[in-house]
Amino acid sequence: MSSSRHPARWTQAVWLIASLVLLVALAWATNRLAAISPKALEYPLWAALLGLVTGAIAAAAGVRERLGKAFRAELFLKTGLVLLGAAVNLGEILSVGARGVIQALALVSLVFAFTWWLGGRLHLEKKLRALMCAAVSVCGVSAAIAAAGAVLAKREQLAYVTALVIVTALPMMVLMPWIAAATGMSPAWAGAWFGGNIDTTAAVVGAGATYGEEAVKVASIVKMAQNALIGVVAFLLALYWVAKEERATVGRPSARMIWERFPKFVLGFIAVSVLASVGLFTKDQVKDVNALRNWAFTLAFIGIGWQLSFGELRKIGLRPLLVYLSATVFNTLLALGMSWVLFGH
Amino acid sequence: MEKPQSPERKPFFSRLSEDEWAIIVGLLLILLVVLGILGPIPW
Repeated sequence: MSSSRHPARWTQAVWLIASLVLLVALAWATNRLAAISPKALEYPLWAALLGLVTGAIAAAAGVRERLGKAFRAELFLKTGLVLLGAAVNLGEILSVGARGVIQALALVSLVFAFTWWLGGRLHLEKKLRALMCAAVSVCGVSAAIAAAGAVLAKREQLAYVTALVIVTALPMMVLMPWIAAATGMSPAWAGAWFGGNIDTTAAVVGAGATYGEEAVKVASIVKMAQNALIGVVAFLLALYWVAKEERATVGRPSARMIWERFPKFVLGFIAVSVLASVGLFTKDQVKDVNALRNWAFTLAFIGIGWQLSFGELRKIGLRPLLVYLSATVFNTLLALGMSWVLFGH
Repeated sequence: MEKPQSPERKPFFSRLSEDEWAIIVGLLLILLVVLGILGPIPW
């Protein structure tokens, strides 16, 4: 029996090594391309494009899943955000974070309500509506996963919403910094706009990094304030489902659920920021940690591009797409106004 | 008589959540930089 198990393990190990080698090669290529290309083509875009192209080729060859074992976008992104703490003073977190929480509370509740209402008008299935509302109002893919757990959504519904999140986030990652630069927005205002609007945290960081160091800090803090609400949203959704929809199938929601869903990497980011604020790191060390952070984000952006499945998008249909895009436009305009009020002066 | 079943062991990397791994890897990288083992890092 064990002899039949071992070859499978070896095969898995070989795929993992091949995946790691490909990921490192793509990250290196991203770094070189960003160094020789014009300013507008920053590393997040190159990384996402390389991930997108190689992912599509791997999908066509039928090896995307096996060759993508090392493409852990969320893990690299969270590691990069922990490292970002070294460049952010605790005072900045408190100042930006307080305004970020106000913005997040307003945006999450209003965008959620709008998307739920519009999804109802266009007769979307309730579980798909719940996933979309969480994705567009809180933080993209991870919020959709939390919502899927809360309402026991189908796997295909989660795949649809994941594809929608990525396909809207990638153009926004490029367009929003361009619009912000064209209209002369300050880095703080632009960062708050990116953080309040773009669904997936990776693309928020990508847009911020394209606009500059100050923008990436504000965008990340604002987005993390929004991410922190994921547990509350999942809890309220589960509560609603227990009370109204499927009393028997959804587990009893509890305060523990809020803690389980809380994005704990945020605590790592704050801890590193505290260490930086008490002067633990020298200037050169912060420079090295910043370089590591850029490498981690590059790996994350490659993973984001790699994950995009055009096959899933074709299955979505027009109505869910219409709801999602309308909700995104609503979110964009509302976030623009909110970020101007809170960060534009 | 049947042997009592031991609880199934999770694979090593699944024992901690992705968030916990992100914190561990991040702090470890910072420690390596502070100790001078890692760096200067080109970007």
